[in-house]
Amino acid sequence: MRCPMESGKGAEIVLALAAGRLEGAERQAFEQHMAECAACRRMAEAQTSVWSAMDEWAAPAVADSFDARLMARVATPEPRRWWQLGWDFGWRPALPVGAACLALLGVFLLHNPWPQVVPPVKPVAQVQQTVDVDQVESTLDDLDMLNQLDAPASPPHDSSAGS
Amino acid sequence: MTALASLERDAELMVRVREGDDTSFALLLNRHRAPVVHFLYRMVQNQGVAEELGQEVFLRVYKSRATYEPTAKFTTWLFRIATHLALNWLRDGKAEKASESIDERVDEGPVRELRDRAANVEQRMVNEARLGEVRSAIEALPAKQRAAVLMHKYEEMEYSQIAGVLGCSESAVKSLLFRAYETLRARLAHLA
Repeated sequence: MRCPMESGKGAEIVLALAAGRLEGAERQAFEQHMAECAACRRMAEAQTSVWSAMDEWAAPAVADSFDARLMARVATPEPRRWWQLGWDFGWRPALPVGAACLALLGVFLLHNPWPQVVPPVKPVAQVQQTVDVDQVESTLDDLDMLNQLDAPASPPHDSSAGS
Repeated sequence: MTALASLERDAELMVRVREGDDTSFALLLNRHRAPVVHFLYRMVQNQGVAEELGQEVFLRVYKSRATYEPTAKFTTWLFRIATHLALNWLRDGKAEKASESIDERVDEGPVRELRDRAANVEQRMVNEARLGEVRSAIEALPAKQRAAVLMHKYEEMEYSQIAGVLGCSESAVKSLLFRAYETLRARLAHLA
């Protein structure tokens, strides 16, 4: 038998031997191999020692009241969560109805596009309010001056003409 | 063949539970109560917590009865729930909050009356110290390695079943187990 340590099967065979799961020809072959291989023998002895030490750890018996406590919990109805209450009170059809409404809204919007919003135009009066008063006065003065320049010069008044 | 028959029996009982037969649930509880609670006890090393988690395991089984499909082995499913609860409990650091002391934990162990009556006080102390070292060595293993070792050693599960419980490949389970036992051999070498 080829040494299991070299073939990478050592740990598996040693575990199986300690657990009593190595049987028949395989067990016989490994036992013969251990007689010659000190490494395999040491590992098998160490594993068997761990195995028997673990055997000593027995778990305590389960309490007699275990079943009664469990059955009491099984019999107790679980408190319902708030969303489960809503579900029970007839909200079950809400999901398909909501989906149908959304689909209808989609179709409506497809055929009736949303009206475009036109930005409001500023009223003229509002624009005029922003004109400077001094500038208006200055313009009016200029117009008066021009009027005076354009007007024909009146002949000088002759007081002796009528006499 | 017996194991196969047992598996079929479990699935059959669970199907009956699904159909509303509570007697079948009681039968399942009777068959699996001790292995589940013992596994949990060795995982969390606290009997009170183990029983509480055990209750939760069977409660979840009962609540899931309506959706149960016998596609996987019943015990794989059962131990998957148990392992999940134990790993969560350990992850949440509740082990540190457990009020029990080491001395109390030793007292809660099984009553090995026949063996102890014959042994003298000194021998009993040696046994308890030895047992304490085994428990400490197992407790020091990473949680997933610990679960794998406990299922392999005490529940005598095959690699494939442990893989089903832990949700990993068979080769990953072998790797977990080889590393765990290597650690245990090193820690417990002086007991040989």
